[in-house]
Amino acid sequence: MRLGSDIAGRTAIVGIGASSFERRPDASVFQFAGEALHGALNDAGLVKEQIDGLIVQVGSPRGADYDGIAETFGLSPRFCSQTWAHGRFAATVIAHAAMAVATGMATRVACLMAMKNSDLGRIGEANNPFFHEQFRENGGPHGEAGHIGMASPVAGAAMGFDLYCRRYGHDREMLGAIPIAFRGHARLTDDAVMRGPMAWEDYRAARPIIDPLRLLDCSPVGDGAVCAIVAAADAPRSVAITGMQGIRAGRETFIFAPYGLGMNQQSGKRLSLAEACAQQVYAMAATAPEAIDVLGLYDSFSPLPLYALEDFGFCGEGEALPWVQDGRIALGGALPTNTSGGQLSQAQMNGWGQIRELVTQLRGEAGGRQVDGARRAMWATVGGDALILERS
Amino acid sequence: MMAESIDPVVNALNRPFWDGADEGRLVLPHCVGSGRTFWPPSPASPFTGGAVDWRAVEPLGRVVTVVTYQRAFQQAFARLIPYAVAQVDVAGVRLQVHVPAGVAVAAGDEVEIGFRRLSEDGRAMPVISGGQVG
Repeated sequence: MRLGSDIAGRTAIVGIGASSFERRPDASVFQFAGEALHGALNDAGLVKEQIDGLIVQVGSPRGADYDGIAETFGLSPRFCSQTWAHGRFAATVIAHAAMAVATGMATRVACLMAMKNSDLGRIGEANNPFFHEQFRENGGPHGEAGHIGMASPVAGAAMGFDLYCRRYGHDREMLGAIPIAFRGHARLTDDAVMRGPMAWEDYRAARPIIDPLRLLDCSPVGDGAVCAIVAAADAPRSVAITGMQGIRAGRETFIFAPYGLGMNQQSGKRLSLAEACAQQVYAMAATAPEAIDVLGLYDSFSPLPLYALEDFGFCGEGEALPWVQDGRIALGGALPTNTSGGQLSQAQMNGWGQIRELVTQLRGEAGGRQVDGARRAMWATVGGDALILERS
Repeated sequence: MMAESIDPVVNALNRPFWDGADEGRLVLPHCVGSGRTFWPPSPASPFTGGAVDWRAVEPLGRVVTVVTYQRAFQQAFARLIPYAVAQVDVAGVRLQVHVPAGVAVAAGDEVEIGFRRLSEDGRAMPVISGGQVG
């Protein structure tokens, strides 16, 4: 039996909704959650009584937890789950919802990411509730080690990128191609938080944060919510989930470096191109990187898309930085990526903004950002999770 | 609001490392079955699942990657800007160490890991203090 043949294509994203993304310090996170949840219900043509599953991505203190969400909005789910309060779990949440639907544990699962950051200090600083994570036993979630001054997720991203550039002999200045391409896409939306023009000289002049990364390499953490409803793949505007892969972990994994690169206890042995193209998500969807029409990549920091491109076989080891130059990942290029601006420019919604955009693209509703003939879309991250979505 | 501190979590699992640091020695966990060092600390070998002991190792290693802080996130480190943090291959593991401002190290450099306090009442932390050696 082919991998995943009992689930591939059986479920779909049948509705998607989002709040606005501007910072609203006086708002409640439940207001963001409500805009996204009811937006998704309206989009799917459902009423809240038809929701019998709820999976929440960001709980308190930045978000609201599953129990409060159900009570506040009058939902009565019989299947609930919740991942931790950071990003990186979007595809895993969707996969969990698809499994619940495919096994009959739920029929319609609301997957909800809602968070509010505008009343918190910056992550890494003492007036942010995640301050303690830099002292997490055996290391913080992004390589933090607060006792030696290694604070903030940007440090791990800077370290991974320094090693990547040294290992493959790349000029770090080439990295500007990523935030500049995504900013160009954000300018075509009406809801991105960063819509001013970004030219190469703006990128080069950006203030250093932790060398080698600059301010424009960091996504602006903000406020907002996205909701996707997963159900059986027979609704009229549904987008089928044909491939899925969960987030990985282990000694060969560092959250801000490609598999095996050589950070922390990684061995230095990378995936071969053949191994990258044989990842589970492709086997499940019976497809390959060259058949992907539009791509969404996790980009809380601008180096991260490079690693997903390599780990998922769009190019070989060490090749992504030159590969993304000259508009290849921009609209009109060979592989349009993060076509609504990604976390770097549209909104730092832990990747859910990209998943919403992929659904919009596959429905042919992306307006001035529409990728002609978009039929097969993919979500992929440096953490190893991935989705393949197809027009039903 | 959390009280701001830069103290690491020190407990029965990792105390040999911190006690060693206080004595200026680099002490790492070893897998008894395979003889290999490993990091981070674990009560069971990540290679075999078997017993673990702790031994002092030569604190000489090679820098793998370095990042330099141009902006302070922690009050206790604001006066140390622009300090750096490096990953160093040492005795079979890769460790993160502090690099004080003014100490020039680059990837590939051979370095010696020492231990010193980064705040007045803090513990001794792993640092590259001398720059390149050998």
